[in-house]
Amino acid sequence: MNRQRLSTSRLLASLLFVLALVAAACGGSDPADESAEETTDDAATAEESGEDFSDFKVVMILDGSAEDGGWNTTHLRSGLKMEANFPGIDFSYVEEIEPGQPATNAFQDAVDAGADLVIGTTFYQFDMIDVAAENPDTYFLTWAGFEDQPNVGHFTQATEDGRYMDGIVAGSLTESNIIGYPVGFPFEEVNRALNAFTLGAKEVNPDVEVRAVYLNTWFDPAIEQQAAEALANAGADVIAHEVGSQVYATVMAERGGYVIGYTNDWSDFEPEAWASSFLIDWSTYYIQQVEAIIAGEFEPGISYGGLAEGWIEFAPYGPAVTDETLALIDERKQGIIDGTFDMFEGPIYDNQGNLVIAEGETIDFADRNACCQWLVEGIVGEIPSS
Amino acid sequence: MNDTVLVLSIASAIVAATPILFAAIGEIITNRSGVMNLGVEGMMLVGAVVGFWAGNETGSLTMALLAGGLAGVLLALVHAVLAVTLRVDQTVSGLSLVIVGGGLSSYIGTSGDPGLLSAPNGVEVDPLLPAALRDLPAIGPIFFGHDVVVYLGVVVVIGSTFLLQRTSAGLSLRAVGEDPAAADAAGISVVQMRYLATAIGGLGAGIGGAYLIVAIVGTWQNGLTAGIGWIAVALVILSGWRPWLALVGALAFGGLNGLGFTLQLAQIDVPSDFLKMMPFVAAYLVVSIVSGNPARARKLAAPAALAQPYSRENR
Repeated sequence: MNRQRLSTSRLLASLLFVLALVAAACGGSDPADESAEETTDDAATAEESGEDFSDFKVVMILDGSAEDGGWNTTHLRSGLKMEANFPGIDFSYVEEIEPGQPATNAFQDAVDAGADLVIGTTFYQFDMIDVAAENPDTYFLTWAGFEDQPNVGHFTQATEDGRYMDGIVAGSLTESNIIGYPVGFPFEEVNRALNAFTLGAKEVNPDVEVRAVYLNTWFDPAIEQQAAEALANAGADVIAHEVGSQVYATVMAERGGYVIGYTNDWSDFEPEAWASSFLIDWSTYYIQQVEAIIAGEFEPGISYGGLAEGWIEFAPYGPAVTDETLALIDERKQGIIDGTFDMFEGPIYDNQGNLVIAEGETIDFADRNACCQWLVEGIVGEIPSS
Repeated sequence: MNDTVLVLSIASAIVAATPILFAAIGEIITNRSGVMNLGVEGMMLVGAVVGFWAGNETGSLTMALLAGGLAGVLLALVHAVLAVTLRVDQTVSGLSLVIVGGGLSSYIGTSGDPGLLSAPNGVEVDPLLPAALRDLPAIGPIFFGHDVVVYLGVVVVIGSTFLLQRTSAGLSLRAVGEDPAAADAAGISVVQMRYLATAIGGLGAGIGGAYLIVAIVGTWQNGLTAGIGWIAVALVILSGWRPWLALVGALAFGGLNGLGFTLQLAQIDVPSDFLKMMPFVAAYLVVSIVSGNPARARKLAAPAALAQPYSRENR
């Protein structure tokens, strides 16, 4: 009797467990399928021009969630803009593809699915290099990178054009003269943006100190929260972050400070704490590339674009930003577009006291991609050696 | 580093310690009944996402913590079924729980329209005590500036110590964890007690996860807990299964939390990865020291029947 009861309860328990596993497994695959479906519907809106691009397939490979509200959301938004521009084009995306073997597999899968163009949103170049070499009829675009292949294009944004304006906002808002700047990983593009930001802040507030902390992650809300707390504890009343979460806004709202975003309009999230954010619009580039591929005029190599190229835009400014600040920003933006303003005009010293750009010199726009291995005067923090 | 930075860092550490503390106390009670549940990280994640959702729906901190706790309990019961009833290897079942919890929380976070990703935090978490006390220099931010859950953590430490050491229910629980056969012979239901203790572990982890998201991080992201559940597991070992020592350990680990950045800001270069490693190094050290000394080993050792399935027939 006792035995009988035991085995019944065991059976029930195993069934429960299997059900739980099945539920979890189904859960994992659902959102990706849904989102891939969704995108094809949107294309219908642009069906006016008569041209039909239904035999052209674009697959976008995102390194995080499409809903991360940051980097990948920006890419997807630009991809959807591109989709709307080409009636009937077959555009889909996959999410959460880490660089390394998963990325190689994803690139191969996209080629096998018949993609004409595969767009990678992060530093995937080493993961796709073999796939691109073996599939010369498919085109690949990948963020950053440098490897020269006939069917591969690299693209990087001139973050500094946006970051200088964010710096002006931060420099004019801070009362403690301490601005926190959590950094993901130390490399040229990031250092360049940090330098531009600091130069902008110092234009309006020469006493400002930008405190950089290195997170060693692009996206990790728990780590970001710790960094935000540490910066606020050290006196920062404005935090400008990179790709990352809304944690910074939460912490700054709590402390009565301001937050400067990165590539996303989060002005609704903590409206009082919101100051500004530059935005990136990749769609200009994506559209150009699709047109070039269809016309048979694809040019491999590195593309670099900023304000003048229409890649950099701005989210609405927060309520605390004054008209005076906005006027200066407009002036600087126009100056960059006209070529009359150059943020990297010497003399510029690094934070070790070395002259890095001499008087009368600058870094040419085309060479900026390779800058910087130094941090400008006014930044408290050092580029970690590893 | 001036005084203010130090004071504010201690205050931040106390808040950061709270989710670790809840999860660790829960796991201590689970372990004391002889069940090892390594799935704390998974239970915290599910507690966090469900708590966040409930907080957004109701705007209430209590509801967020209750919903998160309940979600933790449900997941813990899966482990109880496997570990207690089916007597599968508890390490395997616990590790599976981490994976299932991680996947389930991501699924819950992305399902629904709009999803919870990038949803604002619907819960206002206010300090408990009046501003007059909070504004006192130094001791204000450290002792009086916190929300109700931080103080509740201390109550839970006192309560769980009392439960384990001073009540007959606590004695039964410990008996089941030390010698289930003897407890069984004395008329204690081993299965019932272990289910209950495992559920309490889930409750603690779920509440810890919910507190982490609504009071500290304020936004949902996949893998939000980022290893806090594992720190709680290390802490349980480190504390020798004693709530008071878990409180001390949680404060220490809470302090490590933002310390890497505070040191970076003070121009002291200690890699943050090194600091992240410290809880586990500490656990190793304590385990080595304890097992090397019989007197200490008796005092701070694991429950004798920990992770051993009990079967009346095999006795």
